[in-house]
Amino acid sequence: MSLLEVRNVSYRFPDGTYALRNVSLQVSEGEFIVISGKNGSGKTVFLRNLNGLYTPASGEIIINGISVKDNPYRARQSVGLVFQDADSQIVGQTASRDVAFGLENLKIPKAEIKTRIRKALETMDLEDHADQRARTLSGGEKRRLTIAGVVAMNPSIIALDEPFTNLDYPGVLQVLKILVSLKKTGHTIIVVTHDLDKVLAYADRLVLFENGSIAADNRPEEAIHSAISCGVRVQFSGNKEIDIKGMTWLKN
Amino acid sequence: MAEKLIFHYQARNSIIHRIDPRIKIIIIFTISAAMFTVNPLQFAVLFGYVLSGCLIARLPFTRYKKELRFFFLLLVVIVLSRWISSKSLIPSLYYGARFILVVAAGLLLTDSTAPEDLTLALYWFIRPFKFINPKRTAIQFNLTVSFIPIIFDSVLEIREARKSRLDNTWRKPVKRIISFSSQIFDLILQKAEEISYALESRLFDEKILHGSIAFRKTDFIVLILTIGIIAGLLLVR
Ligand SMILES: Nc1ncnc2c1ncn2[C@@H]1O[C@H](COP(=O)(O)OP(=O)(O)O)[C@@H](O)[C@H]1O
Ligand SMILES: [Mg+2]
Repeated sequence: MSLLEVRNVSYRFPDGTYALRNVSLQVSEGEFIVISGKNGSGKTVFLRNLNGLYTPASGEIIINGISVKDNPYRARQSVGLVFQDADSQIVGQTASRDVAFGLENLKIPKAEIKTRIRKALETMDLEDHADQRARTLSGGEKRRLTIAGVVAMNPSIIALDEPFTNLDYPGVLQVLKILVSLKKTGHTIIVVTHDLDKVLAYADRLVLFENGSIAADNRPEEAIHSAISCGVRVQFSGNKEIDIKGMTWLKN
Repeated sequence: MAEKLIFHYQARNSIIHRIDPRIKIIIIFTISAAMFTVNPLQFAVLFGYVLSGCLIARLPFTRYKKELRFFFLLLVVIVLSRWISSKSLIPSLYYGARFILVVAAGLLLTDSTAPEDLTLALYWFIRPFKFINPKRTAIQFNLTVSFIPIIFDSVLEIREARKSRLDNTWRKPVKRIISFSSQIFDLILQKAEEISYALESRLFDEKILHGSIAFRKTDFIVLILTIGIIAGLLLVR
């Protein structure tokens, strides 16, 4: 059975715009999925359906065998969503208080909250900023803090909306390192991005959105051929085979 | 992003930061109340007391320069209007000095106390008054406090954007103000929506108060010291 099962989901905004049309997708445990597509193709709306922030007009989403519509609380526990705009996601005054926010909502005992905060900040390389005012962190640090706040809650799936936007080069590398280490520790990851050359090397699958529908869902080697027609930039080196494994900014 | 720092919590590790917020609130109220009964010399002692608190907490006054200008302007207006209505300068200046003391005390409280802790302290004080629903009030207070910087940021963001497109301050002022404020309102609504989604995403529960406060021995020493000083002041009159 898949960890996540999206069946024929359509989403309609109150003003009548259909942002998703008959979207179906399955994700198994431990998979690393990259979702791409041009601006306005429905990627953000899709992620917000996964944890019940938006409710589909039709179709169904099942996580761990439980329907999101029936139990949005469980869905939010299962799907940790990292928002594109870090500023609106940070609620704690300091980095460690921000990580504490979600944990306190889960009613986790105080002692364990402490350990989880320390571990999450360490993984995100933020331990030196634990008591720093969150709003004075750099862009890259803020992004890592939002990831820490989500990862600490131990979700089954971590979904990141455009995690590379507004980051400088070292900032991108740090987020990539975190994604790689989350993958190694067995996490299921969904990354929404239009920068395929930064991250596609780690993907098990590439999903392309176009006008609210899925235009391609396949191994990166196959799906990448549809990328350009979906408005996603891909660098071809002549007529040669596309080097998927080279599509990362992390060089070792 | 433009960042408004005044009346914002500054995480630092000073004695003042570590004092329990409930004690801080009691001290500030005591000083504010005492302020109206003391003579100018005694007032100077209170003033010095609060000022040294600001120094111990290492409030970044130089970074507040821009924001303090606003309070300076307010101060001038207050003193001038007092002077004009009462026609005596010295009492008006004294009035202004009290205003400075209140602002400095407020600054000291908000800059050295995390909003979550301030919320819990407020909750502690209003808890006996069941009829005002203390928990809800405390949480609303917390959300409001957290939201103020976002409003400031939105205003600054739009002002900068308009300036960079050579928005002229003096042409058609009414039309300008209307378009400016509707733009700000739009942006704030948009951000408020994002924030509420982000809160929901991390299972925000309005029944849970965040933060933690606990009395410690130093808190009582500071409290007794302050009350001792004020009582001493009042006795030697
Ligand atoms: N609040 C809204 N009301 C109406 N339409 C919206 C709203 N938010 C987004 N949309 C529309 O939904 C579509 C999908 O948006 P989105 O998922 O944000 O795209 P992206 O793939 O860039 O993340 C877009 O056409 C957008 O214009
Ligand atoms: Mg988007």
